[in-house]
Amino acid sequence: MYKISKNLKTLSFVLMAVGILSLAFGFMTTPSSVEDVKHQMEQHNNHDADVVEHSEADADHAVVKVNDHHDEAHAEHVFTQMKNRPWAAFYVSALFFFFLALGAMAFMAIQYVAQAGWSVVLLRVMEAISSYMIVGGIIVFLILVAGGLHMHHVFHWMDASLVDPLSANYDPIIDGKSGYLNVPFFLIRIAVYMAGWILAYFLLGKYSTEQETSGDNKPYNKAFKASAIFMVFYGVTSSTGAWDMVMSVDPHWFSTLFGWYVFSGMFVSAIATIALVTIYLKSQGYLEFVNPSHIHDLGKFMFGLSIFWTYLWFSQFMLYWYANIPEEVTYYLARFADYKIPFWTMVAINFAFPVLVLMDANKKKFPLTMVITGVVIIIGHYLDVFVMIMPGSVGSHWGFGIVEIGSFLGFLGLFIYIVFTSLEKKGLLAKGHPMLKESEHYHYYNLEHGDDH
Amino acid sequence: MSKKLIHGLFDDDDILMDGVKAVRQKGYEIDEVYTPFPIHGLDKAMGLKPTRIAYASFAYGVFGLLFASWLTWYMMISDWPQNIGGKPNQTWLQNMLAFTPIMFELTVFMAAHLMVWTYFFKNKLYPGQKAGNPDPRTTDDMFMMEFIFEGDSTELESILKESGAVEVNVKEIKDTTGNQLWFKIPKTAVVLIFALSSLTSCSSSDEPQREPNTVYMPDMYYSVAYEPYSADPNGVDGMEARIPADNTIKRGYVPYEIPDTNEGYQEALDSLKSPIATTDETLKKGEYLYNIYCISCHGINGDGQGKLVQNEKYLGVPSYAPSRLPNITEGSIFHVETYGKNMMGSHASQLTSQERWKVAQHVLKLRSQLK
Repeated sequence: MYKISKNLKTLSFVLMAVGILSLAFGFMTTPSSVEDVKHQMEQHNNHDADVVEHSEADADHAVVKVNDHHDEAHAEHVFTQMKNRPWAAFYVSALFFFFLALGAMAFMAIQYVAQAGWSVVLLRVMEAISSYMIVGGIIVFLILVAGGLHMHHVFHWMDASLVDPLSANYDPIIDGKSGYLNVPFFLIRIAVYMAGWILAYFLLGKYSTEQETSGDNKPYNKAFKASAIFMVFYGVTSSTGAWDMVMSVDPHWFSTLFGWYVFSGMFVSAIATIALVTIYLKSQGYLEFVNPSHIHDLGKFMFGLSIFWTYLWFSQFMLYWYANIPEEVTYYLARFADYKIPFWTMVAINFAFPVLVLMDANKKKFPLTMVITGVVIIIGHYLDVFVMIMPGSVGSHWGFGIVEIGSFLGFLGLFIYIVFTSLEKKGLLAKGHPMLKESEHYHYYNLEHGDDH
Repeated sequence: MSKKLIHGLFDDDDILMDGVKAVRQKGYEIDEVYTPFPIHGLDKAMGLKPTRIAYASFAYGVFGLLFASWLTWYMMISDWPQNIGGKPNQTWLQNMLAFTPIMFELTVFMAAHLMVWTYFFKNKLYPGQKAGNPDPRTTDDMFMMEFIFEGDSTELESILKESGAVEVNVKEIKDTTGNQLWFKIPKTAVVLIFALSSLTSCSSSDEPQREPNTVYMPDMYYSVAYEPYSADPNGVDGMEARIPADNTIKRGYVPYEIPDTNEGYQEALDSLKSPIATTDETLKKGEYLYNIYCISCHGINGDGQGKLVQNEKYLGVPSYAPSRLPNITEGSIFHVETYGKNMMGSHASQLTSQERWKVAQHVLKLRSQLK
């Protein structure tokens, strides 16, 4: 039986505390009214004016007068965006860690559906990571509910004035989508998706426990069926869920392969997480039955899926670049204008790094290579989610400061706590699984296990 | 002393493995082992080095990537620059996204194909190659160790027998000086290639088809309804499509009434005036468009020395300089952009009328800088 170490427990609590403090700080430093924003902007403008004064002071004055009304609206716009920032930072981290758990769940279900033998010794690790879905899902759902109650407008379309034909803000495009994209239906959909995903987690966990003591393979067969049904459900809902939870942040824009793009990102980062947790447990002396071939296989998945993610990223990007249709390219124009550094950093570290480091067959069995690549992949895909959410919710008023880093660390703490305490609840080996022996003796023929076994 | 060929035959793969280990322990080098199926771990037991073909493949991939980069640069930028979707196209980096699929494909192609060829080359495999297997029983149920041995072989023979060989054969190798060349292509390969090429060239074009082809789901191929642009005996004017109402123009289109004739050109030259004022903004836009649509022939300075002219793809592109074209105005430039002139084609479908006026402004600006 695994017991979470004191140090890890303390670390997770410290991280959670950091997260809560930084979030509180984020909400406190947000401008509290439009007046504040105007004041800030005025200071900013005065500073600009000083520079301009010498050359074209008169012309500048004329422009300022004409734009008086525009400034009013602009200040309000900036205010909502700045108010969104701590919420958006919170949401990015919540969603990212939820995706880790959901991706691990999908990976686990695939092991059952494919009747994979090699991965049986890792099943309990996957179960533990998926267990974060419950708490993580509730947090994500609460953030969405808060949006529905207009506590924030990370989801721009939730603003009721956009679909009111009499309002000055009336947006016919969003109104046209309001049959699907309205708050009650949106929340119902998300609730159904999450309920389905979490239900599948409970079922697989239950069958896996039953299989330990059952003399026959009945629970295993049930797990196979549940996984098959889950995979169909997940295949559809991972895509529609990505539209709702990620793509609707940019409500004017749409992409047909967006669901797969989000899926590939969550899948590769979930597998990196499985590898990291496995290697950590091994370094603590647990999981003695996991050998370098298992780690090597996780490395192959990380390598292949990093390329798959890049393939989807590029498919989306190149077609938009080529066709150059205004309603499509706005998505990338927003990212090029204000998010150049995170955007290109994320492409580089999600593609070039894993591909070059993990290409050599032998490197994938070394824990150090896998840890470094795994951490890089996780940071890279956090940035990916960041670049997907932020431009639509805070626009150019983004930053990478205390709120963003703090909320990431906070959720990391929560994630560590939940994953490792749920590892305590069951044995680390899925005993009674019909293919356990195959997994224990799994040996990739071209690999020397050597002393690091 | 002449060389000997020693063959030790085994009837079990496990016994063979132990035999290989025993022989190697005594310091003998095994030249080859013939088995009916691959045996895991045999390569290590024989002391074979791990293959380096993966490194070769990586190098081939890098070569493919560089080759594709060079290829796209030479074809699309250097030799014959092309306008891809109305985007800036004068440097490789600007159009790299369009070349990425080619770079990817050639990387994969070179890595895979050259690796396979390397593999064949190293293993001396080519069409018509005779089996190098000295004993056909090793394709069925026997395993064989082969040694090319010089000197007294009695110890080796006894080791083989002790480790379970069912048969040990020793043969003197005749001193064959004229070694067979590995690349000598046998007759069978020639015959095969000839037969293949004659087979594929044998499509009988003269003979009529004996049976007509069958259409699967004819409803999908032959529409019951009239096709949009087909003849229609019941339609107005006998056509399915209708002629648009008189004076219809498409949205955003600005009609240009001066005809494409010499008189029309003169009229545009004399009297056509731009509807838009020249500002920094319009000049900037004009320059941007010029550098996409015109630069390849007319050159960045308008001196008629674009890349296509320098590479001698097109000749006779005039400079805008007053000494070369004394008589052009914004009206005539617009006219030529719309209809084309001599070798130059019409750009009316690529640039809107507003855009053509802006390009004309830039052309005049270039002209003023030329002598």
